[in-house]
Amino acid sequence: MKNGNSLIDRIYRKLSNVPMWAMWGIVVVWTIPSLSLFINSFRSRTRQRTSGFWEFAADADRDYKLGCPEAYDAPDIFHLIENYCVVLSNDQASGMLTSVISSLAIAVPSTIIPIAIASFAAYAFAWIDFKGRKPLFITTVALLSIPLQVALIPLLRMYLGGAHWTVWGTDRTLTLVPDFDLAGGPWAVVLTHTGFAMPFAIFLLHNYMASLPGELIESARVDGADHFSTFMRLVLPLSVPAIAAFAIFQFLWTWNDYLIAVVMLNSGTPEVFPTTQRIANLAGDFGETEHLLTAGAFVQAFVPLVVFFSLQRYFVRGLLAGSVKG
Amino acid sequence: MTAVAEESATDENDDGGGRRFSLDGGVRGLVLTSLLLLLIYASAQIGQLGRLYSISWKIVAVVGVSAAVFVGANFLVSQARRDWSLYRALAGGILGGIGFGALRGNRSVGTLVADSEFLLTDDEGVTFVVDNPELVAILEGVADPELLEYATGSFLSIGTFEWPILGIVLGLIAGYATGHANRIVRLAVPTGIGLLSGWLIGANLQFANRPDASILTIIISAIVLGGLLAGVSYLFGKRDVLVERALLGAAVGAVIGGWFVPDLGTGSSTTTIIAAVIPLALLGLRFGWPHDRDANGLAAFDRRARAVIFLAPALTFLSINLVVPAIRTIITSFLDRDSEEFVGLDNYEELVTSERFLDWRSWSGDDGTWNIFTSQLTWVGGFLIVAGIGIAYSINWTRNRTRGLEHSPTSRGTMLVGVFVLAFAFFSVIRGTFSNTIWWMFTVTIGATALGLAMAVLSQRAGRWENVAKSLVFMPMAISMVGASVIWRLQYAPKNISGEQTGAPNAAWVALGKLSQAGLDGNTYPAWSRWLVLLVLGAILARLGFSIYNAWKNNGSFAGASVMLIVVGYLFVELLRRSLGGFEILDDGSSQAQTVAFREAVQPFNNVYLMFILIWIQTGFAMVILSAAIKAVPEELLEAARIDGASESEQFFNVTLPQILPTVGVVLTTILVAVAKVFDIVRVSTGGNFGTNVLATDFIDESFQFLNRGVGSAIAIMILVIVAPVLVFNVYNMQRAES
Repeated sequence: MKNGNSLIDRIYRKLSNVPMWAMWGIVVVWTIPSLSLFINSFRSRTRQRTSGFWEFAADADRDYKLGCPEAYDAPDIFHLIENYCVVLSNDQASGMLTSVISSLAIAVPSTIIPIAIASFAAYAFAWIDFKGRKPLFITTVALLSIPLQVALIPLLRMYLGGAHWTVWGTDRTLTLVPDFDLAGGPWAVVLTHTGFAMPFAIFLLHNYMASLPGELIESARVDGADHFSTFMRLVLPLSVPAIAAFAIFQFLWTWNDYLIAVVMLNSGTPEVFPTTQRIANLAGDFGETEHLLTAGAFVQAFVPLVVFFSLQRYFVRGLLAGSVKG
Repeated sequence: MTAVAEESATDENDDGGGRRFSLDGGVRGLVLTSLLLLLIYASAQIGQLGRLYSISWKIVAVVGVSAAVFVGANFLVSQARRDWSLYRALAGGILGGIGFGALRGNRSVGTLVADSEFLLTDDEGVTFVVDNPELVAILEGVADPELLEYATGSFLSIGTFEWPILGIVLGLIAGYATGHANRIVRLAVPTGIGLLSGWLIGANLQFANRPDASILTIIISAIVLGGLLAGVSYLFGKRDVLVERALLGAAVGAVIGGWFVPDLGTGSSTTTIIAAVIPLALLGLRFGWPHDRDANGLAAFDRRARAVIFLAPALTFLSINLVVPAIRTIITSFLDRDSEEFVGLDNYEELVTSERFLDWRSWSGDDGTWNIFTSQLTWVGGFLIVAGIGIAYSINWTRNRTRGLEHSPTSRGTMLVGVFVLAFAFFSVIRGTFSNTIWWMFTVTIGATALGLAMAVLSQRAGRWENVAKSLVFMPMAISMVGASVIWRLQYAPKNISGEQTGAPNAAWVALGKLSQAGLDGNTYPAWSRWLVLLVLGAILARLGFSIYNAWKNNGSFAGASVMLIVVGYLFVELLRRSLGGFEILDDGSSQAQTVAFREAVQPFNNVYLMFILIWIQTGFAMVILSAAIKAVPEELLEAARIDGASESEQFFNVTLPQILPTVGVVLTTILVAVAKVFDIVRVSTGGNFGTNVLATDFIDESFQFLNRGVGSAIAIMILVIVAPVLVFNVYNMQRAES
């Protein structure tokens, strides 16, 4: 009975393939929430509140229109991008586009600066022979184990008022770091991200740079190239895959971060809030803006999803490499 | 969609060249450019173009300046090999500028070119210039507003730049001279400039900083420290630099004797000048000391200097942003709520003994709900563990007719599920943030890894649909935890039962309830719908029973079918009893839908629904890594197992699983660390209400809401204690794998 080839046998085999059903079950459960968010982001406030996303076909009972409507939640005209119009506009508390810019202001420098600084350090650890190299490297990597929370509050205090040190036994206070008035602005977040990215970035890039063939670097050195030009002309171009992997990982990490933003920007104006903070605040006053959450969350997830689908290979590699990030 | 796993499996192959990266760079460039244009267009639409521009400009400026500093430093060191004195001049100029700038920045020295001057003669008959604006204003009897503004400290004020510029000039000359060919010049000029700088600093120092130093103290401490350093370098065999070390030590000693031993603020200008001149002159002497550099020395210098340049930025960030704050947190965890008094371990004691951290009331049944022995979970978990042992025993009995245990995947699986359920029983009666954190770590780690493993194994059979399935499961990984929480919050939210449910879980639950009440009062589902479903379930049950019977007869494996049998059988019985799904019977006997308030109502199991959000995110990660590992298992091993007649599940449990076990370890520890710090999900989903607080959210509450820095720091240290061992283990393993 099992080996027959008739149509009924084939259907039976498909139906009785329990593992396949289990797998597709997982896939469906995993997809429904995102799909629901995406579909609901195009539905009006009333429709979102009164029927599930699977009834989107019922929305077709009204006229379709593209572009932003003049009156919102109009009963008989169906504006496809109504929610996006509200969410992206400037005059709303939701102002997602403003926060997209703020997120970029955080994520872009938080990606570039650590890459540069960490690749210098990684090169030094890999190819410059100096005293105490190994213990210093091990200490650096060991710093991976410090969770964000441990350093967050003292950092915030430093950004709030600079760092001052009262010399022991005297009443003299030295200013070690002046008060640059960083808290409440993107640079406080960038500097925090940079510091926290450092151990992992150095670890990752060092492992990659150290695996480059030694003869190559030696021959460049013999040819009279100093460390700077060896680094710039040889090691850096060869490390592009590792750097790309880290860059994607770091960009998504900083774009999706909420904890650092909420601590560092609490004292700032809503204009500087990144997308995650904006969405979290929007979710905080549930009810009135519930229908905007869908479009807002989709805008927030749009950039990572573009990265995900266009750079999947590097994204995966970054994640694989990022598996030790603390 | 591109292949996730294949690419990670073949990752190593194209890592080498970096050429692949630019292969389809054109398309990516196009996408990125159009996105950028879209952003610019949209920003212009809402009048944010100016902000976009200023942000971009700032980023470019910061990156550009940093790059220029780095390249400049390297250029400087490159000069050392070509022209030693040019290098020395540049380095001296920079150091001089920074040194004088720092003095001025800390307002230690007055304006170099004072706007108004008073000549004063002190008790000892020494005349000096008063240039402290405040004092000048007082002496003149007129408070000049501009000068007073300086006195209260605006950053850029008169005299800010004269000092650094003077420092640069002096440094340039001194530095150039240290590299000069003539030994006399080499010695005399830097020493002279040291004298001059010392006099300049000493004469212009603010009153509050003038030390009441005695020459004797300065000389004694200079000799002591110089001798000490010389002795140390003698002992360590560095005899060629003996004099330099001695001079350096003497300079440091003179600083200590002149500035740290005496009181500040009571000295006369003479003592100040002496205290400033001696160390700087010694320093000048040290750098001017004739010391010939050969090629080896230059190479060693180059290495050292490059190491400093390449490492300095990273180490600066590491120390300022990580090490120092972490140490400060450790210190504040021993101080009171305002970080003023030392309180020892009080914060930790307060934390550990509080019911918010660990709540044992349910354990003993004090709060009137259930305790560990009245919890259904305890008994189900216990039963499953016993059943697992029973299965292991019976396997051995049926196969060999001997008494004893022989574990099979079935018995192990049953026992593991039993342990899992039992752990849930424990976590549901021991409440508090600490227990919650551990519960999160336990559930999410095991759940995500198990589901990821299942997906990795099962998707292999999906053929051409494999990559679609995997990409869909992997996608949540790209979504932020905040976004994921919002997504699931909308799914979990129950709606008024008079209308429709908009979230999938509640909609399904209510529909099940309606199905089991089909045909009764107040129900729209026709009676036959329930019978139809019962019929289908009955047919599946019969079919499963038949397979189990067959497998039993042929000594085959029937574990999967048994699990299915239990699940389907449960559904069948519950539907037959009309007790499946969300409904409630009203007083008049009619039924009405009932929803589940996932976030609030079902404490403490609402935690599990939050945990599921993180499982939803992390499963894709586990799947991708495990899938790559499974594909890397040598085909010959599986082939050999097949020839030996191993079934598919035996191949997996006896060949594949042992091979990928190290990778499973990596996945487990990685997720464990991520979960221990979970913050976003709890914060956005419940705000820590309804008994869902974990350590990371409690930390924020304690620090920002209750403003108790002591306990807040103690919580942070707790997280460190939980996370650090796992991470150290992980890094150790990776380091070992690398080498």
